[in-house]
Amino acid sequence: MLVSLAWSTVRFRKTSFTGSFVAMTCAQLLVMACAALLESGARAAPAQGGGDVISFAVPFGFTCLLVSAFAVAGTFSLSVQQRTREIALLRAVAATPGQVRRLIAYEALVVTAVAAVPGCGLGVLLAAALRAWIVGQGWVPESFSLSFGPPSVLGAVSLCGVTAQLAVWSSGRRAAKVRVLQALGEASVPARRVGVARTVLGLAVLAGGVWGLAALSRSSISDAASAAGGMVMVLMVAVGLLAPWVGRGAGAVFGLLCLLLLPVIGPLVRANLGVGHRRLGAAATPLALTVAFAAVALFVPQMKWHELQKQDHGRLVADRLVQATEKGLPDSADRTVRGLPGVAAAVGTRQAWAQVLTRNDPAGQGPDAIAQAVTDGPLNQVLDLGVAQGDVDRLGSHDIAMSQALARKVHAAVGDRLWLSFGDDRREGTRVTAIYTRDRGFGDLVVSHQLAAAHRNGEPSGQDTVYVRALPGQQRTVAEGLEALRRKHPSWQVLDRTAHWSEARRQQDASMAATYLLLVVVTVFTSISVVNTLVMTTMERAGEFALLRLVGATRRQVARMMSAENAVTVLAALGVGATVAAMVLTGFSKALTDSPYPSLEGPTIALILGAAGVLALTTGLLTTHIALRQQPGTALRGGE
Amino acid sequence: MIALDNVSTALPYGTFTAIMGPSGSGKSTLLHCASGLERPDQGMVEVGGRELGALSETALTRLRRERIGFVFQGFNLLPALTAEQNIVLPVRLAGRRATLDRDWLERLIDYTGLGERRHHRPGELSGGQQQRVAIARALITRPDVVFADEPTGALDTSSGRKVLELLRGLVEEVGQTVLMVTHDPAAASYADSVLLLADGRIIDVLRRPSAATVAERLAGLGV
Repeated sequence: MLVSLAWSTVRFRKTSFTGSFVAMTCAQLLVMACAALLESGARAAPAQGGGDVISFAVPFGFTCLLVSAFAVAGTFSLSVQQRTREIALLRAVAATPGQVRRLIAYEALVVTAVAAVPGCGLGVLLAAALRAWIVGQGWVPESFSLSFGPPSVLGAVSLCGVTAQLAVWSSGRRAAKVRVLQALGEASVPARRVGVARTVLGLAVLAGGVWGLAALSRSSISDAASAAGGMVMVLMVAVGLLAPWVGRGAGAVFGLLCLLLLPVIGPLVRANLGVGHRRLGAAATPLALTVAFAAVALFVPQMKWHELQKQDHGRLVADRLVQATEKGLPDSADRTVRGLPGVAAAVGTRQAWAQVLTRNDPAGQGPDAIAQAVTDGPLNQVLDLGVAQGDVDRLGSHDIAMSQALARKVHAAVGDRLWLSFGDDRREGTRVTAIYTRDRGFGDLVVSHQLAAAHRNGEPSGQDTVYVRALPGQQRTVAEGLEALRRKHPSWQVLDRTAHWSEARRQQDASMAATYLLLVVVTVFTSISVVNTLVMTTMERAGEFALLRLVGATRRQVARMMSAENAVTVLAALGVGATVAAMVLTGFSKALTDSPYPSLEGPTIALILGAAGVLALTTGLLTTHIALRQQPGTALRGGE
Repeated sequence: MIALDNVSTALPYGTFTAIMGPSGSGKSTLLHCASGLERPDQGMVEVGGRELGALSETALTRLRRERIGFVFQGFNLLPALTAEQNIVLPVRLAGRRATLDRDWLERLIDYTGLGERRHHRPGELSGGQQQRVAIARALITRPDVVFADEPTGALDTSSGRKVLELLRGLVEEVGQTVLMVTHDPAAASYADSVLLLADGRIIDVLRRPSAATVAERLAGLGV
């Protein structure tokens, strides 16, 4: 019975459910695309880059799911609010609170089911487009093909269904608690009380988020970077739960401002903001999410890049770098280079993985670290690692240098003895001879070449990079010598400092492409739900606008009232979004540089604010058009 | 503030009772308490021999579904459902606990004169027709009592008269118990007795009243 009632309701109130339908279709589309990529990735042979596809699709799909939960929750809570009287009638006539709750759940199910068809269909197309894109980016070989079956479709649909059910849970609870008499007696007055459970839950999530931020500011940089996006989501869930309070606060502050600034419509705007604080909160949340998410997604890599670049510039004192385009340089590369005329120093490095075993317990586990195995040679002359303690020049075969971050983590100091593991079963006892600070883009450990090579089971270890320093005044000679070497070994590559930095920049930009794509998707998604929400709230108030015009308000006045209210929504959203972003970025900045003040790029800030402004303006124009579209008489009679 | 004070009354089966009184006299509160939509702070309400105060919200809803019928002033129907679907809604919501009595449904539709409009949605029905659908819905579970809150308040005189004749007919033909709150002396004249309320107390009971006597008595209250 309830299912068929839900079905009739959804069919009858198409306009009311359009918002939810659009949000749900987008969710299904994105999740379907990710599921298709995932299954194809899982089926692909390792050589076809299946793993890369999976590591691209998982965070992508996860973010899409979370964002869609916000959108669906927002649209559903509005549709429940619009139907307060209807639900009250059901309660009065015969429906138990449990039945009302289930009715809302079934409505969500109906919307999920209806949206599944176009969502999955378009999702397959998107998956094909994404495949073409990642192949074009060169992340996976051309041979990677889409191959997926019913499990992807079923998985995507059920995942979206479950997300939608979670998202409408609070709407259902609210609907079940509708005060029958008030709702039937008066017009659809939104409930004035904010649920205690909702507030408590919101505060708990907020507290969890703040605790998480504190932990984030103390964690390592790579952990902090991957946790930052999650922290935005946690904080935004708290904001979503506390949205009525956000709306109430923003309504009070901006209402007063409107009262002071707008002589004629000011009091009206203030009254609307006061009564509609729930609406204000619900409308501001998706926009705030977009702002916060965009800010963190753009700034975290930028901040990392800034720090990396700063350290790289400080670190690199070599004149030239020799690298190889393919397999790497041979073991003898540093010796070959050192033999050239005019070379003061040439040190070869090779990246390796090492695990620092806990000191007192040689069998215990410890943190993994990127280690650079360096050949004998004056390391100081090619790399300035920012040594804080000890000396990094001339490492003995069992001497190591360690980054300050890692040293803190394992509580090591210069002179301490540590056990290292290089991934095989032989542990090595080593001595810390130096602690350095410039580790970004380099590694947390510097070990001797011999030490690392001993764990390669006799395979040639090779070298990644040879850093070359010329004798004073011998730059040209060295450059010519290296040029001759390059001609002899076509796979070798010789870079001066500028070329090295621009190559690093290029790699950074390429690695940002996925972030930009994700950002575009999330922005489009949340834009849809922002527009949705505002359009729905405006349509709900058609009668109110008609009444205003009948009692003598001009079109201009109604339009100005709308713009003032929209402006308040946007400002509240920007404020909340910026606060959430600032909290996360401050935490991240502390993890990255020890300073709580993040370094932000002006153009990026302008981009985010500008995009939010354009979105707000478009929606504002659209909603005003809707508000003024109908003749007042028609609107009052309840025509849609 | 006390909305109802020391009101004790019993509604015998098969009678039509009207409640009248000035605004704020506690008419609606009495109706809501009697139907379990509101709980009294003190005192008790019994419907068909069951005390409402002891029941949980869900049990109360089930009781309303099975024993009580409702007719409100306006906005009585779910806009998404047809007239017939609205009528059978309480039975459907009861799920396996109740089965639809088809003959009774046909009789009700016939009786309320909705035969031609049974598959129309509320938006396509006149106010009077909507109210008749609401009455049929109130009766579908053969309740012990029907509560009507200003059932003619939003209707024109002739549609209102049809609705009242329908209620009167139910009392006479099937012995239905009806309790109605109204402002209108003409409406009250359809009832067997009229309870006059002022400041939360019953101040008078009129038996078999005419519209004129009710109007006169009300005028005496300064309304």
